[in-house]
Amino acid sequence: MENAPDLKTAIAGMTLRNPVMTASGTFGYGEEFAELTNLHRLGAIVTKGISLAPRPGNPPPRVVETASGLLNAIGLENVGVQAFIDAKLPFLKNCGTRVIANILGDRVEEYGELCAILSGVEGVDAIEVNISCPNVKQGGIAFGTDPEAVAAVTKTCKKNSKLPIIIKLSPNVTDITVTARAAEEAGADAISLINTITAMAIDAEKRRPRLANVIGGLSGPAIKPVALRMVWQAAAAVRIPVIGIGGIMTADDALEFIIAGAAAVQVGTASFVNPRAAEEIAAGISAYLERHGLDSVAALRGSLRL
Amino acid sequence: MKTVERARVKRIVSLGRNLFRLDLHSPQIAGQAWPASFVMARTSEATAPLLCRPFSVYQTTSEGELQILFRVVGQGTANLSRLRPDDEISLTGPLGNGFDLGARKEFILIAGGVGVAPVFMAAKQIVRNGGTRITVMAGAATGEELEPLTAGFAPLGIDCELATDDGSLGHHGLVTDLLKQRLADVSPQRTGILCCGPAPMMAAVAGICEQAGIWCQVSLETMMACGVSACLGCTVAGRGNGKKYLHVCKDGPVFMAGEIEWKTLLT
Ligand SMILES: Cc1cc2nc3c(=O)[nH]c(=O)nc-3n(C[C@H](O)[C@H](O)[C@H](O)COP(=O)(O)OP(=O)(O)OC[C@H]3O[C@@H](n4cnc5c(N)ncnc54)[C@H](O)[C@@H]3O)c2cc1C
Ligand SMILES: Cc1cc2nc3c(=O)[nH]c(=O)nc-3n(C[C@H](O)[C@H](O)[C@H](O)COP(=O)(O)O)c2cc1C
Ligand code: FES
Repeated sequence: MENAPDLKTAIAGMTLRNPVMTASGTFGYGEEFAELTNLHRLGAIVTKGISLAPRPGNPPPRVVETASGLLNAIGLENVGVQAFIDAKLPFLKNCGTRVIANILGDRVEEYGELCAILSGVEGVDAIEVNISCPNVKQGGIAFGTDPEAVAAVTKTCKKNSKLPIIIKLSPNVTDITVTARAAEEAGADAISLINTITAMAIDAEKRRPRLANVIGGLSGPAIKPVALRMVWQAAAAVRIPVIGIGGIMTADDALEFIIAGAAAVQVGTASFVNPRAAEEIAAGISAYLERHGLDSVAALRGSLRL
Repeated sequence: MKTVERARVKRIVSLGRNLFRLDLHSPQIAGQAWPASFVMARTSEATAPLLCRPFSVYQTTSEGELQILFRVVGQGTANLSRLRPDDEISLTGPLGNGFDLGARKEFILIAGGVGVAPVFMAAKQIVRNGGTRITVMAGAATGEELEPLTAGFAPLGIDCELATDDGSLGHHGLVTDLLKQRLADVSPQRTGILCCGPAPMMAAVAGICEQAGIWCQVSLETMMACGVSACLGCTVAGRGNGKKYLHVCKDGPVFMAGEIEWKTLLT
């Protein structure tokens, strides 16, 4: 096509084919979706969160549907970094798109060790740092809500890695611009937001929580307006690229985040509803740009008319 | 290979109160389905219900038809019950593992309610393979419900032993009573049990089989967000030296009865 808009997106020192990535924890390690969608049409795959040692996760039930939303308390179950490198990375290396490893830890040093290990292997293009998952009792929550801890984790990750570092912010804070700035000042190459919002659901008949963990993280369309507001505020507060996440189901949803200031987006829960969602959203963005006579995503970014 | 397919409704058949059979034209998935495989069905194009709902494959035809049996229990299944011929829905499948039909020379198939779906597909396959004896034991709340669920077995030449909670058809009581009555004739060397139904029923069957040393596979249900082993939400607790948590969509839905920590599934 002669005048097809350019979806290429430069972010944190990488160039992505398009601005649509899959969100951590909603796309496995890519292989799970290989038969269902064209991985080479994605901007990037963000892996399930990886810790130093394998984690078994929380007891069941771990998921429950709420009004236009999904409440989960998976508990960061994952195979651990060594099994990731041995069993998951070989597929990802050849999957035809960028690979962003999402990491988590319960100590600052664990983040540093993970960054060092993942920087030393072939096939990882960037690291996204989960400082915000609300599910694990001793987990990320303290980092993501405390600007000093955000800065400490960011510095450690930068020191231990040559790869681009994306800090994934927690929405469970009073003022998102505080943690966004803390990440930027500590050297983050980009920030992504939002992670799930701390939430709960109760079965009134049984007077019991619907999740064994009682509290979980809310995702899906229910959180989109909150996510959009936070991305808008964060994009105004920092100069590094912002990756918008939260309830994106359609190309229109993704475009709203870009107009609010996001340089790229991640599609999470939508991949459960429609395994081809991310690919279709990328195509929809292209069609929109063409319809509006825009030649790139960058031309639309932050273009909200006030 | 699993696929996402737009399936066209051929017919929807009411099998009694809140019970339906949905016949879909879904050639890619139907052509590959196996006993105890399941599909994820999108019940709405809106955001509520949001997630796809899992259903066992009940029957397939060589013309690309795929049938499921379902009971209306909430919004998603209510939406399915309102589908009309030529409507389309998104299906992902076939998913999961399947029953091991080669493991024994003789099978007792045990079904509770709509749990008959994977059991029926297994029965058809066993009959097709030949050389294996089958007994079916099926239970439901009432005869009105059980009758249409088990009507497919007679044409296959399979006799059913029935049990209902209200005694309106067959034995007045539980399907596990039928199994207990039969135990004396069951040879643990030759006979295996395949089972699908409500968790308490499967737990009871698992307990009986463990005591009697009978090989037993169960097909489990848990809440599922994705069905494709991405969300890690569909966990059941494993038992003994096995894995701490098992994932029903990937490691299952079929498990050896002894792999499961039944206590945690019942609370
Ligand atoms: C592998 C598998 C195969 C299944 N096969 C069949 C089948 O062949 N026929 C059939 O009628 N049903 C089957 N189910 C159950 C079916 O998926 C649920 O009944 C359905 O998701 C309910 O959706 P809903 O929106 O109508 O109800 P909701 O409003 O979502 O829930 C209503 C009630 O059903 C329970 N429930 C919801 N989802 C599930 C689930 N996945 N498993 C168990 N209980 C659930 C809820 O806890 C709630 O109490 C299967 C489930 C699994 C995991
Ligand atoms: C089942 C599930 C598991 C998740 N696991 C992770 C994870 O391991 N690490 C992480 O940073 N975010 C995780 N997330 C958060 C998502 O990446 C995303 O930030 C959030 O779901 C909001 O986007 P959405 O509304 O598009 O799903 C998970 C979300 C879900 C629903
Ligand atoms: S349903 Fe998502 S991992 Fe099994």
